[in-house]
Amino acid sequence: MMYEQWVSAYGITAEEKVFIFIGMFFFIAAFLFITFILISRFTKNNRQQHEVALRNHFQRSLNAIIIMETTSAVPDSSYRFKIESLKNVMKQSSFARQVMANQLVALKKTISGSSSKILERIYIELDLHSYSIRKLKRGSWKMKAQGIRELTELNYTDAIHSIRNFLTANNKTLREETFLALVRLDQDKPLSFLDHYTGELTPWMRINIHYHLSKSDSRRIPDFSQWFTSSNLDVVLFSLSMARQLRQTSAVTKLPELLSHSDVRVVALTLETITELEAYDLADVVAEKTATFWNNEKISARLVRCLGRISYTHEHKQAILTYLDHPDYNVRFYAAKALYTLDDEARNMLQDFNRGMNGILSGIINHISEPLLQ
Amino acid sequence: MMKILVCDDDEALVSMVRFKLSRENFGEVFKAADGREAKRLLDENTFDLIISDIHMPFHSGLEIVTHVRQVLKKNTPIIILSAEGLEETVLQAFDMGANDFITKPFSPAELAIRVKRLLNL
Repeated sequence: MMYEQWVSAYGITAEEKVFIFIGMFFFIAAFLFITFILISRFTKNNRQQHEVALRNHFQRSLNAIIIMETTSAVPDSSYRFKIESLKNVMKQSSFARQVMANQLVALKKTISGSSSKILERIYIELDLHSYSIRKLKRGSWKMKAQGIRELTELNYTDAIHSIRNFLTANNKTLREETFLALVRLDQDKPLSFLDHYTGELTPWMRINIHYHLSKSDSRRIPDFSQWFTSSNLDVVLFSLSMARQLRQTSAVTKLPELLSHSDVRVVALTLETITELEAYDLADVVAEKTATFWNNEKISARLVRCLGRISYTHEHKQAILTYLDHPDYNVRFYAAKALYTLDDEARNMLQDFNRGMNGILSGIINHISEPLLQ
Repeated sequence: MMKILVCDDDEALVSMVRFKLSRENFGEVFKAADGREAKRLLDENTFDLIISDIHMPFHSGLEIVTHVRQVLKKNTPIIILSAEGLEETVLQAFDMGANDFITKPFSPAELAIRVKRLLNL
């Protein structure tokens, strides 16, 4: 009513009314938007301040518990009192519990020894392990992954069974977290789940597993050849690369059958593994495969390099010789290099072949015999 | 009274190290949350021992070692505390003049013993 009076008093036209409406709409929208931003900023700041206060409080208590427990005979009542006071603070909200869990995880990453064991004890005494396990039942994969990370970092081995369920999760990150958690938590058989694993093994998983295994006790490292016959191609490839990197000579006896594998990546990696492990016992088997892989230049190049490392009979050198007129330059190059570096007999075989072929390999021989390129 | 400087951007770690060193009565423990603050404190004070992380904002721990040895010309004992335990990094730290190198995760008790040894206590 007032608006109508105001409009008629000033003699505003219909078009001007539209502009006023639009202007008012934008003004109110801007006002609401700014108010929303200010409120969210205020809430966020409050939350951050609360988090800092909680973190400082928890850190002081943790310092006291960890250092006193490791340096002197402090009465158990003092320890109990500190734990109870922490429990009282954490009862207030799940936010406080999360801050404490984050604090424990962060500290666990930086300290080791008896202090680290105390952190694991505190985690259980504060019942934070139940809090992390509850996260595994949440709908969001992020919460589940966070729960797994907390349980893993604080070495809660009783959770292995619950974590194992996520090996087949749809979310890739969750699967990766699960995989790594099992490697770290399962002390006796860190990779036992590979027996039935049907999923993908991403480069991230492979790098992290290698990192953790290389840091752990060598007695914990399994014999990777047990997974060479897995129906999961990723598991076979991973096992082969691990056997190669960890130089597991026990795997040598199981390598020949992989040379007949239907997947060329497995054959290629098997040849690289034989080369790396310097499995002289397999030179005959590899030499026999020359005809089989002649048409595949990538496999041929690996096969020739492999023979160049493990050959010791005339027949082996003869097998390399057949590759000197291969249509692919790389294969010819590696074959010539293999013969040149093997021994005098092989080198003579190479020179004879070259002469017989009117010096077709002279360029390659000049290159590999150049002292500066050795 | 001895003066020790702890440089690390990890607040929880600094807090724990300070608490541990204070409990052992090694002296007054100062903290620097980044390389710039560390340099400022080093320029304004004389410390008996420096404990520094490698990866910090503004200046790295290795730059701090160089600053102490080449700019300030001091032979204050320096312990490098880092998650990076690569042989190359360790050798580089010692080459620049660090006295000790501890890889994270570390034991606070072990750190205290190393500090004690470097302070000749």
